[in-house]
Amino acid sequence: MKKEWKWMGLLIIAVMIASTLSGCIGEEKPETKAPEKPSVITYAYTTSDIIVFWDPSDTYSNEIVAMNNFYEQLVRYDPVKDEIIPVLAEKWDVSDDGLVWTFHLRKGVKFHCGDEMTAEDVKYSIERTMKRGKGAAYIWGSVKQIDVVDKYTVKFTLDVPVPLDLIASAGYCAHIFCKECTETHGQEKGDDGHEWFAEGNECGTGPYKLESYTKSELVMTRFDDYWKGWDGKHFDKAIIKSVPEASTARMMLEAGEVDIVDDLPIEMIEAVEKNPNIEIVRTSSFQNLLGFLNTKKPPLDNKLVRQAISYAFPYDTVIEHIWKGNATQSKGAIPKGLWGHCDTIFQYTHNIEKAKELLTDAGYPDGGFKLTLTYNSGDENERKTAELFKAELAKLGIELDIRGMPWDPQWSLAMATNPEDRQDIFVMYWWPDYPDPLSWLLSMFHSEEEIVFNLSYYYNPEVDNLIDEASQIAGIDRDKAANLYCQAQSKLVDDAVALFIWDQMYLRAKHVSLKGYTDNPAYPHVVFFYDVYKEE
Amino acid sequence: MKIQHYIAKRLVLVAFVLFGISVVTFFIARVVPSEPAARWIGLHATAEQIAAARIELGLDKPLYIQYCVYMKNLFQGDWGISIVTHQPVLKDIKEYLPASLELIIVGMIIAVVIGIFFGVLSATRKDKSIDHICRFISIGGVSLPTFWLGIMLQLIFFREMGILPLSGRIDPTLMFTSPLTKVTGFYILDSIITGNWAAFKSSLVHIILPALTLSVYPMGLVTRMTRSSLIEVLNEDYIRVAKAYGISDRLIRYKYALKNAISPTITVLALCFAYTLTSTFLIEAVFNWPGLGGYTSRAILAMDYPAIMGVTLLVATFYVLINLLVDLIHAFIDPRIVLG
Amino acid sequence: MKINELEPRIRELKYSIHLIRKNPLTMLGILIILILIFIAIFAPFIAPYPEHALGAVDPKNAYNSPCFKYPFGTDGMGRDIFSRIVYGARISLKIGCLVIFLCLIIGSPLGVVAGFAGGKIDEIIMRITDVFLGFPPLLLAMAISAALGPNLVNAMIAIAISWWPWYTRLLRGEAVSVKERAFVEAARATGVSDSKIVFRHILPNCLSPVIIQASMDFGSVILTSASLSFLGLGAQPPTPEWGLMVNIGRVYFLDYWWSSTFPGLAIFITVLAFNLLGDGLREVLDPRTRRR
Repeated sequence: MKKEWKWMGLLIIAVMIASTLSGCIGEEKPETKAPEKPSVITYAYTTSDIIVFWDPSDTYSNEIVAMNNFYEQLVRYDPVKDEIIPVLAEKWDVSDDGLVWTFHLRKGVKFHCGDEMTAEDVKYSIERTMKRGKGAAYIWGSVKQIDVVDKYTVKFTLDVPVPLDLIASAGYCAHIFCKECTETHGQEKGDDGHEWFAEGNECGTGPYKLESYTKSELVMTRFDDYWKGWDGKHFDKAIIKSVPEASTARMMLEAGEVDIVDDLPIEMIEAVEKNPNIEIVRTSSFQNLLGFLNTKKPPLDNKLVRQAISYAFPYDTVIEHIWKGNATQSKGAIPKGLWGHCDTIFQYTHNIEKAKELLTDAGYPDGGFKLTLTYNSGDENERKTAELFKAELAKLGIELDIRGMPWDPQWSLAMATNPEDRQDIFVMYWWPDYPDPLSWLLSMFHSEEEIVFNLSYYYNPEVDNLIDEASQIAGIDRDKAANLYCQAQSKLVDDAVALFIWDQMYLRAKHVSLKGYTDNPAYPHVVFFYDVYKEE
Repeated sequence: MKIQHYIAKRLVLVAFVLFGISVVTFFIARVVPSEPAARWIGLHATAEQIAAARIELGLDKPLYIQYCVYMKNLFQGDWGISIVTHQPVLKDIKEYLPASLELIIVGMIIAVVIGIFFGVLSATRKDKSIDHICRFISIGGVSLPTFWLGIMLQLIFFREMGILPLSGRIDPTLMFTSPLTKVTGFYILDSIITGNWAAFKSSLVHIILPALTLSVYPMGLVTRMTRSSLIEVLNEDYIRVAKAYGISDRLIRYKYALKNAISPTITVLALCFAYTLTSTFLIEAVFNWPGLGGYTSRAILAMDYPAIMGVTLLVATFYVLINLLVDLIHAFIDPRIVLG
Repeated sequence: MKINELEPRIRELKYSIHLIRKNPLTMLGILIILILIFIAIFAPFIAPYPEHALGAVDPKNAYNSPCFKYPFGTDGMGRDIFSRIVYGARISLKIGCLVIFLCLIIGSPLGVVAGFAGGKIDEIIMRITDVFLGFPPLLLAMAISAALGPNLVNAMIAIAISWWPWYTRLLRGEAVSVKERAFVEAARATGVSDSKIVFRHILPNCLSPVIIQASMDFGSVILTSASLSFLGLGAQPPTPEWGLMVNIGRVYFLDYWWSSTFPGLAIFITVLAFNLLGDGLREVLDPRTRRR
């Protein structure tokens, strides 16, 4: 008898200890930080892998948030003012035919390793990126030759007049890094420096350099010789934390453990907005959601059917319910705010009667067929959209089978040899690698020999010609190019090649004490740590 | 059959089983219509890039050659590169393993201690109301959906009562005030070794809910196992003799009976360990615990075949070896089993 | 032959039922299961908003807390959770039945044949079984489900593939012990063909452990399927599968606690019921097999 009570007693004591310890949690969250502590900004990044590609020639993924603080480009793009801002290049000129671009570099810019940035580094960086051909390297595809004119002047010769300034501002694969460092380390390993980067190294000109990296957090510290200097208020250190769970990120934000979160579900945004310490920054983004319709598989090979379901889509409910108004219905393929967006294009509206009419014309008065829609599993917004759409199509007698799939299988399915085996509707986000409508139109609506991203399998020579023509002149006459893109989009909308669903806003939840933050949609989810500071 | 023969035979079996597992897993992961090359490259890749990546990853060769290449590399210590993280799989595993192990060990300790306690309580008061309550608790324990229990505990202890943290292994602000130097990767152990009291408190507090959630299922099994085997043993003649001789109840219970009842419990514990290895998928998802379970889930969802292979082989090896160990212990205790 | 066997069997059956009724926990399990079956059958009449379980949405009513109109509250799409749980009963029972059925028809014959035949056939079958048993439990089902493409049917196939070895091993063990028994020897001696022996003598006598296992597994299968759906590898939206509902509700559960609580509770009660039943059956059937 007594022995059991002894065990019981131990259990009770254990519980008591646990509660005493937990009672101490409150003390763990200091309101004020210790005096000698460096000023730190912490960014909660809701993904499991902060850095996927360390090599600046290969970047194409989550690491964009880190790369744009370690490294810099020749120029940066400001979408609000529609302006190119000089960064590593002070000024540049372009020849009349648009084929020769000359960049005049800033003097006295240091890399993290100590070397000075010169034209050699620029030539080396871009050529290496082109040679490796990974990630977004294709953006440099029109560059025929790069010449070092003198220590601070670089000349690019193109074979097609593309807008090189926009290209050079890209968030991926446009960074300038140290030729000396890369080559030296490359020699040690017997490669082009890739392995050295992949081990977790960087050599850029950016304001922050790498201090430490683990899977769960990346710590950066101030680069004292940064060319802009450190006058004014700046953070000493920047930390990017990997927080895959939205509820954890939200809790950390409310507790003051992080200063800003990249992405929270809309319900949490609403809840968190009520907190007087938190504010939400809303910015129009260049990200939109499209639903590609399989134009090679009946019944969607019939234009009338495609138009019918375009009318059946519940645009307003989706925007109202999923985004609580923080998005707008897409007009054409190019998101609002980016040049090439066409305000005059026709836009489908939610109209079940019209949909029914069109279906009847097409020979399906009561629907009676089944469609398969694939979306990226784990994405709440896509899932809800699909469910709302399903309910609407049911009203027309169309059964929508929705399937959440991880990206690879979803894409593989779309590339099946027989069009009949593929999905009917492919839901996907898109955002540009550099601010140019070509990213959408060329990748997704131009005919392709092998299926990559033209997931409507749409081949229209007329549209192809418009796109090709526009891409040739975009560097010289942007307005004319925009006009051509407009015409192309009209065709796409009329043919109902895809469902143009929404242009979304980026909603960033941040602490009110964090100042100086503006969200630049040309660099999705990037916080330029140099520009922000804390003010209680 | 001698013990050595038995061990040898079993080891051969283990090798065969692991080989079979590697083949099955490899084919599952590769037969799928999936495009790992695309995932490797990045989301907006061009056709040429994908083709190049396919060659780079060796995906253009026939399947059985890919398998042989993989296995050859495996034995040389190269477990491949994860398609998702772009890091060597072995490195990823080393990074995530300690977190899961720490969780499992703490959870199992809780399960065993409380499980045995309840089991003994239940057996010695058979068919009384306490027995029924304990049996209900143990069956309830194995019936609880792990992920749901985790969520409920978070709701109660974090949301409503605010006394325990929501997720994670340690309080993040400690990185500045009292950073923890990692020695073994087990936070609780490391904080003791380095004398970091704040980190010790924090990591202990953070592990409570996940470990508790993890322990419930094994606890149920242990309770039931202890109860039934103890009942059996208590009915044995030699116990009755001991009672007749006037040896105290307590002594009988713990010294004689429990020792004999432990044997089936060990079997159960091995099963539990195996179960908890996979149960960590769910718990790590709920508590944002940076362990192997979460890594594996992501790998499976992305069809990251090197990672899937690596983790499966690792965990299966553990699993199979533990089963072997348990059988050996049984053989040691009762050699008759081996001869059978 | 049959008439002789029948009477004592009926007596045993009656005694078994009596023992079952004596155990309050087992009766509780049976009661819950009966309620569950009732709910599943009469779902359209019990659920106040059956359309919510079949694909309709009502976004304006999202996240209502439990009240008279919506006893368990509404989810993110405005659907009544209570109605969806009611329909979910159908799905859960279907999953359990199908998977166990698949396991039985694959696993049992293999096990019995292995046990009876012995020798090389036994070796081959058992080695294959060992390979599948060597997989950590949930992992194989996850991998297969992901490979086939996550949806409910594939999840069921995946679970069946990872589960059948248990039955094979179980039945092999039973078959091995049964085949030593006198009446089998006798049958052999009188020249009865092997297959007849297997199906008329061995298989029926192996049944009781299988019944216990199957009833306990019913709960585990539902749990595994819910876990798969929770991880995104099982049922797809908008199916009102309980595990899926817990998963979807989880993102907002800190603010809207009902979205995950009630579906999870449903899983728990169902699994509990089957485990209680299985446990009770084991108490009843096991000592008796030993006595025989």
